[in-house]
Amino acid sequence: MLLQFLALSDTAWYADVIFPESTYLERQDPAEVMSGICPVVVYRQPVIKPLHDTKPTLDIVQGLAKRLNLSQYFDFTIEQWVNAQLKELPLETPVDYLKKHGIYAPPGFPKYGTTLNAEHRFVTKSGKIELFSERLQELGYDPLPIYQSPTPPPAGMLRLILGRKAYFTHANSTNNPWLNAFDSENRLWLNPVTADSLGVADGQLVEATSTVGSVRLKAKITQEIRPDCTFMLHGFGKRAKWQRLTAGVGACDAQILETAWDKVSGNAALHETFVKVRRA
Amino acid sequence: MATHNKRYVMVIDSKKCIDCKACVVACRAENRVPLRYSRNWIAEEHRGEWPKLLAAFEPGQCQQCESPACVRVCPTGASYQRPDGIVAINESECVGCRYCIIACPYDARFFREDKGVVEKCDFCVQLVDRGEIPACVKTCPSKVRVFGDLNDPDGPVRQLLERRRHLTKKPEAGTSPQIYYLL
Repeated sequence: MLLQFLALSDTAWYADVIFPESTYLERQDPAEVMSGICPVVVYRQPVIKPLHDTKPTLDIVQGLAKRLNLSQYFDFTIEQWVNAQLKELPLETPVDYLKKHGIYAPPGFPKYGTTLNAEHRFVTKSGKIELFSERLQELGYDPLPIYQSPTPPPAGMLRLILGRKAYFTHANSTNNPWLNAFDSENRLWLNPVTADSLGVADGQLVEATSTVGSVRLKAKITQEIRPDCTFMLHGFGKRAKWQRLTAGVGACDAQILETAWDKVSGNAALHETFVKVRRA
Repeated sequence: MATHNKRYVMVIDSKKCIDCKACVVACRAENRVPLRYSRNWIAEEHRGEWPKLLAAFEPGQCQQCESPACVRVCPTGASYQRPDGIVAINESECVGCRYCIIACPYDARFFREDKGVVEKCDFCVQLVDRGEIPACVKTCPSKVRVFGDLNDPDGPVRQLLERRRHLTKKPEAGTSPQIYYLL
């Protein structure tokens, strides 16, 4: 497995070869298009020189291409790449414009109720916004969204809830010393009623087990969790020893998370795991 | 570069605070505050029993008092008040006696063991003197903090304080704190 990575994460831990990439603050990237009702073109330029011995993506790709005798396909600079991307913009000097303003937004901000013309049709069967979807019905799903209450956890088990803290970015930044100082170890949240029935005291080591794995971490007894649920913060119990503050500290929710997804949208369903908790 | 008719204050709308602690991190970076200390903080309140719960967050820091107790007790003049109201510390005058830490009703000061001096929030004077705003104000994603001149009748601070009910912390301490908390 080959990997390009900003931080020596758990994913990097499993890689055979790691290419150290410069962070987004240290590298010139291709321009980025953010699509939507108000699309914009975003210029991505470095604000500092790389702090460490790292390279931008294109340099890494070109280095690999050279080894594989494929250099002719990557025979351009990042500036040429960006120029080629931007040359269609209705501006005299698009690169200069983006260097100055950072983004380009087409003139005329869409206003509610004025952008659709009479011929416009949505990409649904009826061409309209569908509350009742014949397509979903044909595929064997409820044509109208129907509320289904979540299955209650089986006796003696708790629903595992996933979530984050506002100061951590997903599971990525827990090893940053300034942020880690706010919360340096994740714990398993238990309602006092649940903790009582399990005979668990605050701070005591507990074991949470699902069908796919088992983790050990300390209990946090709090009113802020339902008695039939439990929660642990993302981004702890890492394997990568390089993550010095979080490797082996607390536990990793991914180790006990079961695979589940929404049957209609395909989105990952992250709150579908039931766990058994006991004193470790 | 103090200007005479200015009075810098901060208005804090705690209800908007989401406890992301960006203000704490921005202050640490701007003022190079080592990890074991902090010039500002977010106080948390958690109450109630499930399912009737309350959680509230409130940013805290030096209250930039109009009659600062810390300045009054400082034997060397290291703690001083600028004409624009900002209470600051002249590190080279500080002898580390820590009287000010005891005098402060808000527990907003700390002693830097590594430097032998006392430190606290000074509204990022280095930025204010360049016409900028304090780092915590600039970074706040939910716009909890508004910084400005209390003596500017058209300024954002006065506009807010005239429109919204507000209070100051521990007014009974008699130091006339100048961080205004909106209700």
